[in-house]
Formats: sequence, C-alpha cells, structure tokens
Amino acid sequence: MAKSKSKAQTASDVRARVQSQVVRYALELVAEDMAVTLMRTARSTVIKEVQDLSCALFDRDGRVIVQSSHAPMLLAGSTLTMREALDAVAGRPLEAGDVIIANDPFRGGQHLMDVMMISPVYLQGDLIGYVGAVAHHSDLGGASPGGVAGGLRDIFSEGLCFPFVKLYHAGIENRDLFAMIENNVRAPHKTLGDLRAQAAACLTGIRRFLEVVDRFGLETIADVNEMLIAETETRLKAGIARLPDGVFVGEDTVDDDGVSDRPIPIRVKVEKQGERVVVDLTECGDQVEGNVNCPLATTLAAVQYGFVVALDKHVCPNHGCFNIIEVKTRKGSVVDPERPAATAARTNVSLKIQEATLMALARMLPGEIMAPSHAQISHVAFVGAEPETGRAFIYNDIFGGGAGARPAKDGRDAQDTHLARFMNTPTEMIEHEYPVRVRCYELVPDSGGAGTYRGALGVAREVKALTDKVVFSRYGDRQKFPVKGADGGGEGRPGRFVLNPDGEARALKSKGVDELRRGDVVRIVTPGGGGYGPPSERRIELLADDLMNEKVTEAHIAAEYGERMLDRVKAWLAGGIAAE
Amino acid sequence: MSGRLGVDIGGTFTDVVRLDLATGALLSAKVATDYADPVGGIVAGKKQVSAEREAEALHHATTLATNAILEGKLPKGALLTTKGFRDVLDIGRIQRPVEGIYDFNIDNPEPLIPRALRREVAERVNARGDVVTPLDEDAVRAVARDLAQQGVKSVAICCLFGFVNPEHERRIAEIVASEMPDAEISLSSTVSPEIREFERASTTVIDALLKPILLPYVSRLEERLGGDGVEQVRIMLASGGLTAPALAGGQPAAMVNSGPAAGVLAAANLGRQMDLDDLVTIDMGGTSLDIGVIEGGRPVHKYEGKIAGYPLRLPMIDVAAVAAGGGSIAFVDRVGYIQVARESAGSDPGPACYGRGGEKPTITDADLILGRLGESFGGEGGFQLDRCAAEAAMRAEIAKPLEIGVDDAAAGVLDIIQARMAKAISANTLEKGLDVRGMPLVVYGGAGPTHGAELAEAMGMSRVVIPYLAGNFSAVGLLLCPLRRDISRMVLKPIDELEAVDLAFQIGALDREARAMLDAGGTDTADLTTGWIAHMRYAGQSYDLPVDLGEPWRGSLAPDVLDKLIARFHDLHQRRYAYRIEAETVELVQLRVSVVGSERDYPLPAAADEGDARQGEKRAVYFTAHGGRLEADVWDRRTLRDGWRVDGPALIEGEGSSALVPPGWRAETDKWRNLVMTRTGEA
Repeated sequence: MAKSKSKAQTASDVRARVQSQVVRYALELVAEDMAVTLMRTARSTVIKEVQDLSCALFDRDGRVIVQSSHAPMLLAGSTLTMREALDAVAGRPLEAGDVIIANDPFRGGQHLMDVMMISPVYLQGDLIGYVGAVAHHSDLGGASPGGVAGGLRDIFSEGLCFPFVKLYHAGIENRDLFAMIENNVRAPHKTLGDLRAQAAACLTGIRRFLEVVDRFGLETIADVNEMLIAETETRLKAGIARLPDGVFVGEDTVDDDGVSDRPIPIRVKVEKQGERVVVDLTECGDQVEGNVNCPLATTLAAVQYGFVVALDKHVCPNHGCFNIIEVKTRKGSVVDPERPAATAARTNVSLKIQEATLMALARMLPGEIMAPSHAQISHVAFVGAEPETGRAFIYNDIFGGGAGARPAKDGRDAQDTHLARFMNTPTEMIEHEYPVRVRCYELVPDSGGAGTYRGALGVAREVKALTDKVVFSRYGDRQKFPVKGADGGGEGRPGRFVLNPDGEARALKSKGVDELRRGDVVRIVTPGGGGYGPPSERRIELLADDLMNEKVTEAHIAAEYGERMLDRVKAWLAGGIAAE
Repeated sequence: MSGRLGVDIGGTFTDVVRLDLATGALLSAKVATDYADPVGGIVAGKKQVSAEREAEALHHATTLATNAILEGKLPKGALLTTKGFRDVLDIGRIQRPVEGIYDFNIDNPEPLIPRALRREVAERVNARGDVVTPLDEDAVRAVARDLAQQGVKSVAICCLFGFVNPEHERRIAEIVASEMPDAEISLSSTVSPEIREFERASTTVIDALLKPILLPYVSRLEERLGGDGVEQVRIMLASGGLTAPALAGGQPAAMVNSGPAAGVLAAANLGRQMDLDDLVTIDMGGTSLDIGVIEGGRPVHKYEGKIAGYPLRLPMIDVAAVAAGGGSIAFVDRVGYIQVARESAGSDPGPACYGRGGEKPTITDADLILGRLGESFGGEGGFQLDRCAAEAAMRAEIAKPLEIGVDDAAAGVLDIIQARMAKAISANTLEKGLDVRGMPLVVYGGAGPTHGAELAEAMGMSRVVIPYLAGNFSAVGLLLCPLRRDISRMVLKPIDELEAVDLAFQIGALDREARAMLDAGGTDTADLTTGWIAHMRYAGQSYDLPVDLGEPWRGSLAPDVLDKLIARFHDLHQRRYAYRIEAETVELVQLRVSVVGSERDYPLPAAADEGDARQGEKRAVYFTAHGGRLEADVWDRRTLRDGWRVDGPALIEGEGSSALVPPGWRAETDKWRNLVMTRTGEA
C-alpha cells in the first residue's frame, strides 16, 4: 500500500477491489458453466472423462478475462489464438450466433487435435467481447487415427486444419462444413457430436455472459477487467522483484522425433535484470521432421505456467500473465516451428520447456521449487473394428507419470502434474466399450528418484487385444533420458512400451504405429519423477514405509541408499531400532 | 406412542426437537455435543423436551460417520481385489484437485487403506459377467489368515465387474468370514453395484471402515435409550429416509451427511404445504454453507458425492457443502486484497466475539460490528457476544493493514463472502440446468437468516422463507422423514433391445429385494410405496440422466413404457444440455428402485402467546446492497403472530438467529410461523 494515499482514497480502492472479486466470481461461473455443458454433452472419452478442455471469456480486444479451471496448457495459449483470430476475421464482420472454428498450429493453435471455437458477444448490436472453448478431439482424419501416431512428417498427414471459418452462422449450422468434416473423419458420430457440444458451450457462454453484463453493467465489467489484469501483473511483478539478477539456465532433452533417433535439446535461459525478464529459447533444437514440434502458443503457455507457479500461484490467470516476461524464440526451431511441421505430439516438447523453465527458476529460488517431473504424455490409441458389428472403434488413453518430489514431501504417486491436468479412463469403461482386456493398472516400484524426498512412481497398464488387426498408435517420451533429481536427489526411471511382456517380449518405439494380432499384449510403462535432496538424509521411517508398501524393493534401497541403510530399515521394520 | 423425537448430532451442538403426536406441539433444545459420550447428550436434550418415561419414537442423524472420515479416526482395514488392480485406490482418476492447479503442494488425499493392506487375488470376470479367470480360493484363504494376524478389523472386497457378476466377491466374503470371524466385511456388489472401479472401491472401503464404529454405536444407542422410554429408534440415511438401526449399521456409508439431508427434506415438505414446488435451500452454520435444491416438491437426488476428497457413490439428497460459515476467517493477502479463508474458527476458539480467545476476525464478527447481530445473540438461551473483541480483531487484521475504518473493513469482508456464497449456490443450480431467479430461497442454520435476503438479491431471487426453529431445522426434518430403502441394478443396454416385460421383471425383483431387507430389519412394511427411475443416455455418452416417469410401481408396466422413457429422456436432455438427437440410440444404463414409507406433513406449530409484537431498541444496521448503515427496528421473533408484517430495514431476532430485512424487502409471518420475505422494489 502506498503510504502517501489519503485514507478516503484507500477506502474507495478497497471497495473497488472488493467489487472486482464479486464480478470475478460471477464471470468465472460463466466459464465453468461452459465447461460443464461441454463435458456433459460431448461423445468422446477424451473430453468426457479426460477433461482435456478449457473455456474462457475475452474482452472486445481479445484479452483473456477469466478461464475455467481445467487444462492449464490450453489456458495460457488462448491470448495468442485470439490475436490471430481477430486478424483473420478483420474486415469480415461477425454476427451474433456465429461460431468460428480454428486449430491451425501456425496461427495461434496448439496442435490439430485441440480445436478452438470462438463466438462474439453482442449487446444491443455492439461487440462487447468473446467466449471461447478449446477441446481435444479424438479424430480429425489424417494418416493415422486419433492423430496419435508418431513418425508422421507433416501437418497434412495429421488431419483437418480449420483456418478460422464459420462452423455456425448466426446460430445455424454450416451444413457444408459439417458434411465436409463428416466425410473426412473415421468416427463421424463422435467428432460431429463433440463439435456440436463445443458450440453449445459457446452459446451457453454468450447467454450467461450477457446476464452478468446485465447485472453489473458494461462499464463496471470493463473497469473490473482492467483491475483484474493489473492485479495479476502487480502480483507477478512483486514475485519478479524477489528473483536475483543474472542469467540462469534450465535444460532438458527430448528422446527423439519419432523419425530419426537424434535427441532434441531444450534450453531455457532466463535473463533477469531489474524489472525485466527475458526468457530466451533460441538455443532449443531446430524444427524436426517428426511430429513433436511445439507451436508457439503452447511454448508460451509452458513458460508462463512455470513463472506463475514460481512467482505467485494465487493469481487470476488472465491477460496479466502475458505481459510480465518477454519470450524470445527462433522461427524454424522446435519451439516455434513453421509450416508444414507436424505437431501432434507437441506435449513431449512443451512439458520439457516447462520443466527447463522451472529448473532455471529453481536456481533463482533455492528450496522453493519441486524436483523435475516425468514431463511427457504417453498418448495411445487402439483402433480397429468391433468383431460383432464391424463398427470402427477408437480407444484413446492418456498416461502421466511420476511427479517430482517436493522440497518437504514425496511426490504424490501417479497423479497428473503441472501443465497436464486430465482424468484417466476407468478399466471397466474401457472393457465395456472396446474389444480389449486390461490385465493390470498399477504403480511401478522403484521408478521414483531416490532422495530425502522420493520422486513419485510411474504407472503401468497392460492392454490385450481381443480381436485381430488392432492398430496401436502412440506417442510417448522420456524413454531414453531419465528425469533429473534436484538438490542431490536421484533420477526417476524412464518409461517404456513393451509388446508381449510375458512371451517373446519386444520393445516398441516411443512414437510409432504397429498392428496387433488377437491375443497380443502391450505393456505401457510411464517414467517416475525426480527425487529431492540427498538420499542419505531420507528419514528411516519413510524408507521403511516404502519398503513395507512395496513402493521400493530391497535392491533399490541397497543401490540408492546403501547396504547399511537397508540393514537398518530391515531392523526398523522388525522393531529392532528406534529412529535417530 | 405419544411423541416423536428428532435428534441431530452435529459437530458443535446436539439438536433435539419433540413433536407431540396428539397436540402437534413442537419443543426444541440445544445441548453441546459430547464427543466422549454422544448418547449422553441425547439423553440430556431429551430431558428438556419430554416428560420422563414418556413412550417415544426417536429419529436420529449423526455426524459421527462424517467426522470419523474427516478426522481420519478409522480402524485398520484391508482391501481385497482383482490381481493387477490393487493400486486403483491410489491412482484414482489421476486428476489433482482444482486448488492444486498452480500449487504443487496440494494433493488428493492418500488412500484410506495403505498399499501393504491392499491385497490381490487371481480372479477375473469380463464386462459381460463371464468368468475369464477362476477365483484362486487358496490364495484368498492365505491372505485372510495374514490379515487376521495383522489385526485387521474390516475388509472391503471389490473385484472388477463385480457389479455384473458378484459370485467371486461373495465367495471371497465367505472365505474371509470363516478365517476372520470378528472382522466386518463390505462387498462392492452390494454397497455400490455400478460401473467404474475406483468410485466403487472408494465407496466400499468407506463402508467397511465405518462398520466397526457405527455398528456398536447404533446398538448402544438402542440399548441405552430403550431404558429411557424410547420404544423405537430409526436412523437417518443421506438418501432422505429412515431405517432400522441394525440396517443402518450394516450400510454406514449411507449415513454420511444424513443430517443436512433431513433439513432439505423438511424444506421440501414445508414447500409443499405452502404450494411452493421449486426451491433452493441454504443451511449456513459456523463452518459450512450447505446448498440443496428442490424440484417439483421433492429434493433433488444425486448418485455420487465426495467426503474429505474421497468419492462416495450412493443415492443421496444433493447437498453441496461450501467452506463458508459464520466462523470463516477474513485476512488481507499480500497484495492488499481482502480474502476470506476456507478455514473456520469453529466453536473453539470461535469468532473473536465469542470471547474464547479467538483473535481472527470472522463473518460473525463482521455481522456484529455492523449491527446485523445483537450483542445478546439468539435472545433467551442464546449467549452474549463481545463487540469490542470483534472490533479489535477486525482492526488488527484488516482495517489497520489497509488503513481503512473498521466498518469499511467489515463491509468488505461481507461483500466478499456473500459473492463467494452466491457463486457457489449458482454453480450448484446451474449444473442442474436450473434458473434460480423465479425460485424462493429457504434459509436456515444459525448464520443463514442474517444473509438470506441479501444473497437472494445477489442471485436475482425475490422470495425468502425462514422457517420456524430455523436453528434446529434438520432435527425438525427428522420428525417427518419416511422409511426408505434404495436399491439399484446396472442394465447397460440399448433400449431397443429391451421390452417392457424385461423392465417390469427387473423392477419387480428389486422391489421384492428391498422390501425383504426392510422386513428383515424389523420394520413395518405395510404402507410402503415403490418408486423407480431409469438412468439413460445417448449411446457413447458416459454421463447419464435419471429419468422419472413419476408413476409408482404397482406390479406391472404399460406396454408403451419404453416409448415414454425415451420421450422423457429426449426432453430432459434438451432441457439440461440444449440439444437432442432423436435418431441416436438411447441406452438404459441403470434401474433404481426406492421403497418409501409415508412422510409426515410439516406440523402447524402453536401460535405465539397473546400480546403485541415486542420491539427492542432501534439499531443502525449495515446493509450490503445499500452500502451503508440505516436505522432499523429490531423485533423479537417469538412474539410475532400469523399475519404480522414489517417493511425493511428491520431486524428480527430470536430462535437462535437474527433475520435481516433489507430495504426494499417486506417480511411477514404465516401460520407455520415462517418469516416470509419478499422483494417489494428497489432499495
């Protein structure tokens, strides 16, 4: 608080701030209502169960006002998407009830599967803002079902790319466009159902946005918007003031692009001088042939997320997040690729950017940031025909892995982390809908990095095909370079995909497409998180607890914590010694 | 029997209400909850409202089950499950809580049963119910012996697709029972026979862990109260009905959050008497705001909730709890914004004005500072509030850091908490596709009446009902509750593959099963009616909608019942989600049957004593919509008779709460001794 302000001024400041909170709650409710509508009406698992979606309100300049609390990865990129959208529709006036569809990775999009819809909000003929909904679609055509396969080499093979066109015109479906989509996707009933659900979310958003405007008045909403953006900026700037000046680097490595075996370096250089922070990504690897290229919107989201987490986790995630740091990228690099780069598996780069950002920030804020996490998403699809009906099926699944250990506690096993926020698919839902059998779904012992605090364990799921000609396409990562530990903590164990683990086991590439025969089993193993602090300082009761619960084996304790420690843990469990 | 007692044991108070079955007279008492001897509190409360040795029936709800989970005071339990799936309880649905999006220290709760006590046995059933791998009975026996040796008190059994074919679960239970004769056992196929293994396992585990606590509790309750004239004890379930103590103890997960359910049921009942069919209810106490919805005169049910972050999938009256109550603590965050924490000061130390050492300003303190509460709160039987202590706390924590006045600080706190409550109430009703604006708001709980009208205004609602005995309203609800038994079965088939006779066969079987259970529990099954609903969805959706044709089961179904279900489903889908697809295949996911006894009508209480409405000293009261203080009349609620009315600004105190009538609102009393407030115009 500035001491020079008079008390009267301060009291009215406080009132305005109180009001900004009141209006914020009302606006957030609109975004949540959009998300509820989308989730509950969609057809495909990735939206309904996995909740890979996000909804937002924008002001008339396209700045984010509020967003629904789902996937942070989709949240942060939306400002860039809106800027592109406004350029695209400039001179082509939008009408009330129009719904624009877009997913172009080179014009503010994420990857093709993340389809954005935007609708203008009019009040008595005046444009007052926009509503937007992004959702992951399970299939948009292309060379490989679900857009999931690794090894694809250009955007054209990945599916349909919508260049900011009208899916709805004045509230009426664009039937030509719907027919075009229907003719180009594998499971039209799902894709079209999801598109309609997403449009319904936008229409709900418009209605509720206008109700809030009616209640508080347009002027108040505009004032509050400025305040909320300023508040976020103020809070993040206060966080920046705590950072030391200097250059700090975080590095990580992507296994490969699925075409060649060459690793891809990710290097995040944070340069801080006074109030200015420049995040330099120009030393990241070149754009690659495979589909792991990370579009700019996603890259920015990854960097911004790291700063919000480190600087002030309680900010309202609005436009204010976009102004506080400068991000430098190099066109034609893996973090700012150019057409026609393939981008479907971009999360395996974006999560590395986010981890490298946090690593750099950890050097600036010692003791405050958690150890690195698995930083990959294993997205798999099993595609084939149902044996009885012949109808096509697509079983999509997403796997996280082990989170890093926290400065004062272990990583929470097998939960989502950071940019990725989603839900898994229950085994019973999978088997009810698709001709596969899930043989196990379990934690992977010893996969978390050793340390004073242990990295979280990864998970494994085994899926058996119950019919012939099931195409197993996937992209994963972190199968060659393990997750690093922090402050002396140990590495997490890499993941792997194995065909027929009980028979003639064969390792499968992290990114690729294979055809399974009836009876084939695929074992999907995801990596564990990094440990925090030296293993020698881990409390014996925590190790004993891990051993008793079979989260670690005796061999792992002996190797990472020493034979002597293993003897002490065993004695402890036998009731032989007390804690030191 | 001459009287009926409603007893609601809450975290702070045990509320006892007595209805004289001959005269209809209502008496109420509030005693402090005794954690060491909760039944002792019931006996003490009963003394205040009923004559000794009077033959009574006692209807009971308790927060014992809820608190045991919240406080983690549960016995040692184990989970037996299909080989390969013991970590389902740990992995859950993977998604971290929404509060943890940007805060990496916030986690989902650890599983209630540690990995070492989650044991796998070889067995497998597929989605159709066929046995793919036979049960390894020797393995089960070995595991059970080991668990017995480890002192395990209860065992949850949850096999994949156990809800389709429960044979393996049943056989495991037999073996466990023979090896561990003292252990309690819960089967997922009985507790929550529905698809999705994590939610089913979570519910089954909660049920198993509560049994060793609640089975002895209900038998002690019957024993002790039996010696005190209570002839019949009935236990409240979250589904909105009563059951025999032994049945309740045998399905304790259904007792979680049963007290708030009784309040919503009472509101629905009162609403029907008043010809109000669609209502929103709020119960605001010291720590939480409980939100309920009534549609068509009946409470809305939901079929999955959470307790302390753990999924609990059972039929329950939909009550959403939000961390906002009179004890919620206000603070200034590091960039100078007033915030209200999720934490509550509770009852000890409680708000600063309780004078029990609380130094943090709370909502109750803000209300007191701004004249919205009197210093002698709740009238007779209430207690003295310390205004100086409230002001000192508000000054130190809010006003001074922000360099503003104490009144401005308190006003800011109220604006924030009310906005948050309004958001929570709206979110809850929006999810159900409801527009609250035409609906009345029923307000109860100690802190509710102070905020009811202002909250209603913030949500565009224009009518508020504050019932008689608003401070003991859930206990009043217990007086009215019917007997009830819920039972369900998964169907998971396209509806065109079904015929009306299939449906009738299944409903009939469920009906017989439910009645047999009530009968076995020793309850009178004479005047029961059976309702049924079908959960339906479009093929490929994974959420479904409960479709109720509103026709009680009478032993058969008309041939066109499937067409009617389909038509109703399309309508419901349209209403809830703004679209329908007539051409799409409709699936029948699940059938639910509820066997319900008769509900007693909300009683007409005796009128206030003869004499004029009593008025206290005028007071300067702060109203949020007005943004300042206004001179207001203060009335004693106990003296108000049917037809009395007043225009705001006014305050009506008594019966454990203080009702605020803002400018632009009118309050009147009716024959149920409700305070009914209506918006009459702009403030």
